[in-house]
Amino acid sequence: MSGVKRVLVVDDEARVVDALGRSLRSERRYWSVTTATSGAQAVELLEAEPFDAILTDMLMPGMDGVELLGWARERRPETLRIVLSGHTGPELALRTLPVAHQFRSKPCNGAELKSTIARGLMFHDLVDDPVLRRAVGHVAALPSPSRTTDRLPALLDDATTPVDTIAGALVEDVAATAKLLQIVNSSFFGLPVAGQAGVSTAVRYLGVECLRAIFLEGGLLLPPAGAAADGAALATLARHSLLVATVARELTSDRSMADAAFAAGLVHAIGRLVLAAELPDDFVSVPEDGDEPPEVRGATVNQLGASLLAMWGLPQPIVEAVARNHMAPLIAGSADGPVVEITDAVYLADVLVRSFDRDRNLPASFQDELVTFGLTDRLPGLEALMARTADGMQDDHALRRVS
Amino acid sequence: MTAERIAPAEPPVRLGHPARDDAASFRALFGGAGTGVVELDDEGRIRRANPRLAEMLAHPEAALAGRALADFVARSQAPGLRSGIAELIAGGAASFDTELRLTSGTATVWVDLSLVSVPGPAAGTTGLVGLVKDVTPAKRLEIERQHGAKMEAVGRLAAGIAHELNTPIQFIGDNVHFLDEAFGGLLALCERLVALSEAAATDPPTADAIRDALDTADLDYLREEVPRAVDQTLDGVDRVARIVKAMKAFGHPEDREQRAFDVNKAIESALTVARNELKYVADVETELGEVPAVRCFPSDVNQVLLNLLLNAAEAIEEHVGSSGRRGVIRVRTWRDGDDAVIEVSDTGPGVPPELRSRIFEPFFTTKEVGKGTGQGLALVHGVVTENHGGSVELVSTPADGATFVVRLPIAGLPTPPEQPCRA
Repeated sequence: MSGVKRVLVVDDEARVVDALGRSLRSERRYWSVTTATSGAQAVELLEAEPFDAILTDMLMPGMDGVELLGWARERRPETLRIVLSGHTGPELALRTLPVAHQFRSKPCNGAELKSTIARGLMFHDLVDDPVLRRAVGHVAALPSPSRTTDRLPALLDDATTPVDTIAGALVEDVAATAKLLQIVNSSFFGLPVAGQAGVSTAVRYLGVECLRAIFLEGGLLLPPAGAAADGAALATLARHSLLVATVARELTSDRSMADAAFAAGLVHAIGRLVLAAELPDDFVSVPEDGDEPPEVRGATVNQLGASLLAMWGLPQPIVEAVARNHMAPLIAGSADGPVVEITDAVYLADVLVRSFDRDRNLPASFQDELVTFGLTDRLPGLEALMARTADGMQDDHALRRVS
Repeated sequence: MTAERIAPAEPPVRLGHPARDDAASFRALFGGAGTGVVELDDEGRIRRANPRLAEMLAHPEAALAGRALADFVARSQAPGLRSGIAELIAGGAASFDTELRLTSGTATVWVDLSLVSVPGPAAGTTGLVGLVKDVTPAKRLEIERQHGAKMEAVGRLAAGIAHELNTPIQFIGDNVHFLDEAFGGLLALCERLVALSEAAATDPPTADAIRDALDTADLDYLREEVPRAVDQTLDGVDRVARIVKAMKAFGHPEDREQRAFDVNKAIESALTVARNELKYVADVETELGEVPAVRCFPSDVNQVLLNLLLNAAEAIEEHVGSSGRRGVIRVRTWRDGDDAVIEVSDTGPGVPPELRSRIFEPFFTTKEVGKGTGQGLALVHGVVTENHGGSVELVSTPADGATFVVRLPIAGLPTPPEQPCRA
C-alpha cells in the first residue's frame, strides 16, 4: 500500500463533509479524503475498497453512525473508527463505546481533528501485519480477572463506596483501566477531551453513575474468556501490571509524570490481552523467561498493546512507553543527575518486578543501568514497596493505598 | 340510623329573622371578613367596599365610592365585567360569577367575583352586592404549572438548538480554516512569482521553475473549492442568523397585552427552533395560506405552536419506533371568517375515541413513562381558550393519525375603546 492514507468522512449534511474535506486538504500528501453523505453510501465505499480511517457523524437518517461503525468493526476491523457528533449524552455514549475507537464533539476545530486522526493512525507504524491490525481494531472490551468481575458491580452499586475504593478496584484490572483512559481521552460523554492519565482523576471526572453505566449496563466488563478462560493468567497479569505501575510511579524523577507513568505501567502488558481475546492461539502470559518480549506476526506484544492504545487515543507518552518497553532506555541521565522519563520508568519497573517475582536476583546486564539511574541505593525501598503492593492485592482493606 | 334523626329538627326560618339581626350580621361580616364585599349601583359603580376589598384594590375605602368596578380590573376583562353587570341589572340572570385580575395595586391580585342583584336604596331601583374572594395563591400555582410545562419544552429545545448551531459552526470553522490555508498558499505563490519575475531581468526564469511553483500551489483545487467554501460559509452564517432570530422570537418576554402577530411567520420560527426534534422522525409539509395578522399574546401563540409540533413528533416517534420509517407532520393555516385557523396533523397512532375527551386534561398522557408529563396539550388548550377566546379541536382516526385544529379570533379578545386604568 502506498504511503497515502485513505480517510472516509461521513455526515448527512453535505456542507459538513465538503468543509471537512477542505480542512484536511493541506495534508493531501499524506491523506486522501473521500466523502459520503449517508451510512449506506459509506458502506458501499467500504465494501469496494479498504480505508485507513472513518470519521462519521452519529445521528443520520437511515443507517446511523453506530450501525455504520458496527458494520465496519465486523467487515473492516482494521479501519480506525472516529465519531464526530453534534449530539452527546450517556445513552449515545453507551451505544457508541463498543463500536468507536474515539469520539469528538462538534464543533471540533481542524487542527484537533487532524491530530486525532494522525495519532490514531500511528498504530500502523506499530503493527504491519493485516491479521494483527484486524485483531487490534476489532477490540471493544478485553477480559477482566474474576477478582474484578466479582467485586466491581457490588462496589459500583453501593452508593456509599468511596471514589478511591472504586479507583483502587479499577487499577487492579488492566482492561478496565485501559477502557477508562480511552473514555476520558475522548468526549464520549460530552465532556471535553482531557489528555488525562490519572486513574483516580478519571474516576472523579466521569462520576460513579457514568462508571456504572459503562461497566455494568454497557457490557464493557468481560469475564475471563478466550485463551485466558481459566482466569489465572489474567490474575497474574493484573498483579504484575499493578506492581510495575506502582514502581514506575515511584521511579519518575518528576511528579508531573507520576500519573502517566502509573497509567503506562498498568496498561504496559495489554498486548497480551489483545492476543487472549482476539488471537488465543498466540497468547503468551507473563512472566515469560528471558528479557526479549515475545513476538507475534512481526510485532512484539508491546507494539501490539501500544497500537491498541494509539487507536483508543491515549496520551502519546503512554503509547510510547508501552511500545518501547523492553528496549534499552533512550535517555541515560544528565549532568544534573539521573532523569527518569516515563518510558524508562516503565522499562526499569518491569525488569525489577520480574526479578522480584523470579528469584530477586537482577540480571547481570542490568547492573549498569541501575548505576546509570542511581537506583542501587533505592533497591531495598523498592522491594519493600513491591511486597506491600502485592500484599495489598490479597487484602481488600488495603486497596486504598494503591489509588 | 333512623329516619327521625335525619329529618330537620328545627324550622328553616331560623336563619332569616329577626330583621335587625340581619343588618348586624351584615355589618359584622362587611367590616371584619377576610373576603371582599362590594355593593354596586345600577351602573356598576361602587357604592360601598369593605376594608378587605379596599386593600385588594389598593385604594382607601372612601376613594372608591362612585368609581366603576371595571376600572380596577385587567383591560381585557373590563368589557366582560360590564356586560355581566348590565345583564344582572336588566334581570337577565340571577347571578354573575367570574374570575378577575385586579391591576390597580403594585402586585396583581386574582379574585373570584360573585354578584347578585338586590333592591336598590330608592324604591324601584336595582343594586348589586357581591363577594370578592382572593384566589391569588391558587392562581400562582396554576401559572407555575403552566410555566413548568413551558420550561420542559424549552429545556428539550435548548439541546436541539445547540445541535442545530453545531452543524453550521462546524463547517464554517472548517471552511475558514481552509480559506486561511488557501490564502497562505496563494500568497506564497505570488511571492515566489514576484521573485522569479525580478530575477527574470538578468536570469530568465525557466518554464520549469514557474510550473513547479504553480504545481505546489494546488491551483486547480483552489479554483474549484475557494468560491464554494466562501458561498457555503456565508450560507452557514445565514443559517446561524436564522436560528438566532427564531430563538429571539421565542425568547420574547411574556406579553402583557395583545399585539398584531403574523401566525405564518411564527410557524416558520417554530419549525426552525424545533427542527432538531422533528427532522429525524418526520418530514414537514407546510401549506400556509393568506391569514391576516392576528391580535393575540405572541409568546402564548409561539408556545402553542411549539407544543403542537413537539406533540406531533413524539406521536410519530412512538408510532415508527426504531423501524427507520418516517412520518409526516403537516402544518396548514387559513382564514375562516373571523378566525385564523392553524392545523397541525401527524401520521402517528392517533388517539382512540375514548381518550379524546381527556387529551387536554393536565397530566394526562398516553406516552410511555418519561416521555412526556402530559402538560403540553393542557397548556395548548388553556392558552387558546382562556387567554384568546379561541378553540382547539382534535380530529383523529387510527388510520390517519391526529389532527389538531386551533382557531384564534383574528380580532383577539374584545377590549374597550378607551382604557382608563386608574384615575
